[in-house]
Amino acid sequence: MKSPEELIRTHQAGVWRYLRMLGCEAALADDLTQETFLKVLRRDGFTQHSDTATAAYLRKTAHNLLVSYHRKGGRKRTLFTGDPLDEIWDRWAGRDASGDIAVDMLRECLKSLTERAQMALKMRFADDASRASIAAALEITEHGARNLMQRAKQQLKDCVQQKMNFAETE
Amino acid sequence: MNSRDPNRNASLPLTAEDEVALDALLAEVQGYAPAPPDLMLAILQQLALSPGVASDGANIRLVTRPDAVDEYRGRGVWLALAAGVLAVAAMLMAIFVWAPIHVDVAVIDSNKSAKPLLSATTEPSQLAKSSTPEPTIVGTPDESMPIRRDGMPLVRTDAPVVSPVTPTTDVRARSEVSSVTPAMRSDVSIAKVLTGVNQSLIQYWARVGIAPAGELTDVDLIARVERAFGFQPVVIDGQVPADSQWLGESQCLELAKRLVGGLFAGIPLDRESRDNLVAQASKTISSGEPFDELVASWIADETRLSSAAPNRLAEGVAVHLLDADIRCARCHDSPIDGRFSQADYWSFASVFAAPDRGPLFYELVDGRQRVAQATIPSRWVSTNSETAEVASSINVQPASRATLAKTLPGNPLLARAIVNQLWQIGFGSPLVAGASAIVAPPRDDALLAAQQQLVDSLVASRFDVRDLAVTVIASDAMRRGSFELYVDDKWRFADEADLMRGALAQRTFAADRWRLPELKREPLLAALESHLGSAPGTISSNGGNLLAQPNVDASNKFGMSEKAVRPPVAEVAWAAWLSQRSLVRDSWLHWIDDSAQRQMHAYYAADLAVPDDSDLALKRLSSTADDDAHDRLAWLLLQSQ
Repeated sequence: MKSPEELIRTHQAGVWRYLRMLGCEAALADDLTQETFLKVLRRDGFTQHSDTATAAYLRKTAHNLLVSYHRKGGRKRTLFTGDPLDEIWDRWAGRDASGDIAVDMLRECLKSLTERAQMALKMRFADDASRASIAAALEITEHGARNLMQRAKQQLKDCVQQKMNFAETE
Repeated sequence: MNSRDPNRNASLPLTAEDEVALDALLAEVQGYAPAPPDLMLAILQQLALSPGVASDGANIRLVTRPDAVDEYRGRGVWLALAAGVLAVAAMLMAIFVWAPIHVDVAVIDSNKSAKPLLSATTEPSQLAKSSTPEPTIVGTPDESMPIRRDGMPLVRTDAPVVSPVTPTTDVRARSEVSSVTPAMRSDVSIAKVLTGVNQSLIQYWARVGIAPAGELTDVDLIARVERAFGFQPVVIDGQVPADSQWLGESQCLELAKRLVGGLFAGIPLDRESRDNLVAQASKTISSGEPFDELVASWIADETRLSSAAPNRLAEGVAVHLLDADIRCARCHDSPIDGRFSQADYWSFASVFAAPDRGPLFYELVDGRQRVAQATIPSRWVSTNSETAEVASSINVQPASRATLAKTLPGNPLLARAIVNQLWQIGFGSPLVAGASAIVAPPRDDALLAAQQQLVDSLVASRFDVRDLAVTVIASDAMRRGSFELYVDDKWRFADEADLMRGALAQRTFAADRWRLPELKREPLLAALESHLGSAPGTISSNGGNLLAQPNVDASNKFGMSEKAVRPPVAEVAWAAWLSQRSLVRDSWLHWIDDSAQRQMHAYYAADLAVPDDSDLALKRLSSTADDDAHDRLAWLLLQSQ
């Protein structure tokens, strides 16, 4: 049985990344991660069984808080619902409670992309460049830039998936 | 994730969900988005402040081992017996120990008109010993702690960092505290709450990297309190006693004047009604009666508070009594706080419309008209919209002011508003300002914790405003003086780092506010007109203009002395100040594309009416194409109030 400190230390990164994967801004993910732990730790009769079960429970709580947040704010946001949520998490970061392994895998997989694909993704995510800017830098059309990034993402997905499967069978 | 899928190795198409997940991870890997933060401290602090309530009404312990909970519950009978014995002992103490002290205080109070009571002229040692626990220095001075001007570390107490007060923010908890006598409450709560608040403030200053100013002398402390509250406090050995008994009727009257002025700011009241409210408030405060019930009776009384513009009245009530800054929602849904929609704003305004008035219409952003239905948004009057008690009490159609009044007694939102008002009286700025406040202290968990401790203690004391006022007056922040930096124009020769620290300290309650001379807006704008056209008065992003420098003496700026107009170090400081975007809470203004609208919103956020001569300001500011221009104008106007 973990103390609150251990529980937070083990799972906070995972809950935060999970919320980010659901489309939360960083600040909102900060708030909801705190709310998630507060809600769970304040709950009468909360018992911990295993890290996996606790992580799933925390994710479910986080998801409910996010739904509640959108409902209270009167926001109409497309939010993934139901069981596929955990599938997404498992597909991308399910190797450990924190998601650190997935981040490392993704970092490795990025290196396997072509230079142009790496450059396009770097401009998109590190420099927040528009598609038009990326297209201009690579001397291709905007449509081409979009296709390039989509293919790169598909490649990354396959690569991460492969690494996760490999790690699981080891 | 452990299930085996034969098609697992096949390449599946990238779904929309996958793409959102991958984008989040990619943003982190590429360094565009932050990595997961360490939220341990924030979570544990909030958990300690409010551990939660179990189904049997007991506070949940932090470690929720089933065996520990059973053990805890098994000891319940013995704990209850022990608590009973302690309660009887405390009452006996109150009778035999407090009674003589009351006499002493009464004697002191009757002499108060002669001169302020300093440690040098009085010897009420019993009072000091009984009401204020002596702080003890624990361990060696910590280098990370703020250092006083005299080089001494701030005193640490051996009390826990978090609030020692059991949170009782739930409306239903009122009945549990009603049996506590005022004397017992004062003895128990003020000193403890004060310790918790002081600890939170010290944490806050340490986090935002501020060295607080040194402590004031007794004479200066008395002068500072008198300047803010209109009366002189009792000061013993450099401390204001953590005991509200020294607040006599005259002090309560001054307090009531300022509190009523703040709580009803912007609400049109004739002199007679205002005097009447002040008299009632003074009586309630001095007798220790629940202030929340008085406020509720004011709201319910339609003959006293009325207005031809019901939305103005509603706005004032929401902003000043419910700590809900709904001003944005008058014209559009608030983009800052999702609780405030335009429809809710006008529904709430409709509650304040006179019965004989026709339906209240309002215009949507696109010009279409709507009729407002009188309702009270539950999320405006409750910290927890699922609280059945509040929800059922306001679920009446059409809602009335009496309905609203029922939600106020014991309401933590009203407590928060009163805490902010008292803090504003003492320090010129609320403890925790609304999200749209353009000039406010940086938000921080420690500051929120300090506010929560004050709110909890106010609710627990059944809204005894005397206790709260004494806590604010006796706080560590009130004992801080001005930096030497601002004495005799030394700031002109100070380096920018010192200027930055000084400016921040004033905005974060770590130093007495350095006051600008009273100047009206017109002369300031006239001076703006005369200075803007020529260097170095041009507003630009490189910090050339000093008009909005928060700590520059306006009399020097507009005294036509070239030397005073352009102290180079201050320019650098101002540029550095602006570069600290996280410390200037006006970033929401930058989302407004239209520059005229942005300008007007700067005025709104500074709580100022858009002036008639705004054309001049707009003309000057629009010529610079500088996004920071409106910040500076807001500062300028705020300082000229």
